[in-house]
Amino acid sequence: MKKKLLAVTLSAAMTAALLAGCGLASTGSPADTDAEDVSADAGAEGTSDTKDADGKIHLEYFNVKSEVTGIYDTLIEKFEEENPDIEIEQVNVPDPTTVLQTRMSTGDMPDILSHWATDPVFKEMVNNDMLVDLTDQDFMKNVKPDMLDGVEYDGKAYCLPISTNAAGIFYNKDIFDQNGLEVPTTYEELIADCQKLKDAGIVPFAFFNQDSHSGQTVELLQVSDIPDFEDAFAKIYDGSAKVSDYEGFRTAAEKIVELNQYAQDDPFGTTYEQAISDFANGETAMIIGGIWMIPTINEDNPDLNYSTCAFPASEGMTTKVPYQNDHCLAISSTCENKEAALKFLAFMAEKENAQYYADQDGSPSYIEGVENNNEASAPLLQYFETGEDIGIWPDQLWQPGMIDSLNSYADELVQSGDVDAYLENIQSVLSGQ
Amino acid sequence: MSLQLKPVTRLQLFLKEFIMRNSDRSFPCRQRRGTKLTTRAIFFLFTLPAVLLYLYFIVYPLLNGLYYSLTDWNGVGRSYQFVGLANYYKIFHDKTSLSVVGRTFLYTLLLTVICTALSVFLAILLNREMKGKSVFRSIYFFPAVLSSITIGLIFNQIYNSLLPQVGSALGIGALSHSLLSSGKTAMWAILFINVWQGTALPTVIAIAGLQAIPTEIRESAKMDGASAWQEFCHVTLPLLMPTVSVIIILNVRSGLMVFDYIKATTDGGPGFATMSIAMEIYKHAFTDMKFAYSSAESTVTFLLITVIAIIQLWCSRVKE
Repeated sequence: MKKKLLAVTLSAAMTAALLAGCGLASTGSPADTDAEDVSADAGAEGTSDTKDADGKIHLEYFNVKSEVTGIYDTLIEKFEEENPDIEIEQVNVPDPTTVLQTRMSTGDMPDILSHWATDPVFKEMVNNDMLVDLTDQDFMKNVKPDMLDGVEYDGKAYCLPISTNAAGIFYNKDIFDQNGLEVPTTYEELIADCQKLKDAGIVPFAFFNQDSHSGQTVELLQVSDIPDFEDAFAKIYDGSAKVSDYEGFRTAAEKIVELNQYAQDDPFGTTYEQAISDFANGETAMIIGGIWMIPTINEDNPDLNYSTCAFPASEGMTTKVPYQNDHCLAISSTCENKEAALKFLAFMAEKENAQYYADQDGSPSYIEGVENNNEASAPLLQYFETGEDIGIWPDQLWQPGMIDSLNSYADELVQSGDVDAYLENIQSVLSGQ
Repeated sequence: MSLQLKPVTRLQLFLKEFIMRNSDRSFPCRQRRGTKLTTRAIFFLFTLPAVLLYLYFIVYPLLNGLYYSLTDWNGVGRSYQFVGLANYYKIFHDKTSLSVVGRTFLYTLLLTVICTALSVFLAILLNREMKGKSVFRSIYFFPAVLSSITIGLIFNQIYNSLLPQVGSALGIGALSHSLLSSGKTAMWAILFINVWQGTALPTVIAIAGLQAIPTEIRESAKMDGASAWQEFCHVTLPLLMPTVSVIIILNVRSGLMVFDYIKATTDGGPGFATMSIAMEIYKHAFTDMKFAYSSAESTVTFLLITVIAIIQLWCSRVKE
């Protein structure tokens, strides 16, 4: 009898544990709860928003840009005040692009997501009908028309573009003044400046090689070093040209190895956040990066006297500033509450809110009437006024998935210094093998 | 065929009735052929839930993966094309892949040798009569209890933050940088983590194996004048061989499929310095959008491990 009681109790415990697991899974995320509600209704294309148990509509906003989570916290609060029946949960996880890709393949797309409008993975989402077509929405009229073409596919807009970015060198004005350095206009001048700093005992650059800084910097170098790089990548992929046909790949590789000689101690042990913090606290004179770093630098050290400059090309070549759509919002086609999601996008397209975002982020906005008040990014943004001498980030031209291998090979290059092996490796990746 | 045990529960009583009803003579006399089948059928029905779960969660994905490995699906898109054995051809011609396989093999070899030797050594020590024997055994078994990701993350912090501080304080140049940030030392650092956790379970298995050796044999060896080392080589070790082969199989499997420690620390970097076979499969599937290629790699790895397992079993059978 005792044995039987024990057996029954244990089986009951096991069953309870199993069911508890099931119960937890179904109340996992707000989007899931909505899905349950909808399945009970007729649930057409989600045109009627379904409310949750507490009478509110829950949306999940998956944000891949960790620098702006603070900005969104404030904006979401304001949106929820204006729309008391909608609640938005911002989700920002480490390694967001991999997580998003996994969610894409399992069909578990978030309601609203942020991304980069020209990114290969974004194109993949558009091609697979994963995003809602926003072309005819009223709020899209707020977007500057000449900038809108750059983010459209076949004349249709699948996202609300928010801001664009530009890249170059951030430099510490105080350190430069103290050492009598001027803003370099050629690559040779930059290296001379670095040598002077090194001799004076100051670390020239902060590199965050642990977070793929090598790969990113190589791309930046390629924009200036390879005059027709947009063509080049297309030709290498379809096989009509090779990496070895373009001198620029080699010079970019040699430059990244040289630049790393002016890095801080242990760049491969330094993360992105750590490197920015090192620059912001005056431990290094410069950091190579883009204006997306501005919010973090300002947070780390609001008193830092810094500015930006374009990364100079070699003597005789044209300096170009890399740029791309830095941030955009999209709605997934599996969202159950599309009207509420559209309201949030309309909110973000309002001039007032876009201005707040631009002020905090320092990046040029796509929305009409928004002014860019950020001093630090001014030297880079003047390149956009003429529209010449800017180049799109190379990784926007690659196939989805290439960037990871190319970043790893760039890391290998910096560790070993072996330029020939690097060029062979990128040849096989860029040609699609 | 007859039910050996007396029916105790109501279920068993019901079954007995059910079977009896299907025979035209009383149980436990000779039964007709039909009943044999019915008894078998009932037993089969009992195994059915487990079989179905196994088929659905293990066999079906395996076959599915095999199918995808013959296509060019990128893991996300709606459409893909059938490409036959093109992926498999690529695997054997990819330089980086071959170096990853080589690295994983070397890692596995080192892991197996170190873990096996260490666990046998520890088992001998922990098998002696001493105070606090069970306390020590629990301490040495403790690493096996924690999850590999937890241990990986903890060691990541140790390698990145703690050791460099210690190194620069003590003036040791080699330790002042994070061991995980150099391609030359990263894999060794991860090997250390794996050995730290991987010795725990084999130690316990080896203790069990040692206890199965009758003490009379050991004592008779001592009486014949054998030294401790001779006793170990010629008496203990041969009798411990079955256990050692189990430990070797466990270590080889764990070494070839190493993933958790790498993911928690270097994520394959710097460059490709800590890429293992499993890391590459994961990266190709979920980061590089080469799902079909990754499936092909999985199939090849599966066959590889099967071949290794067969060789190991054959070797240990020969030894016995």
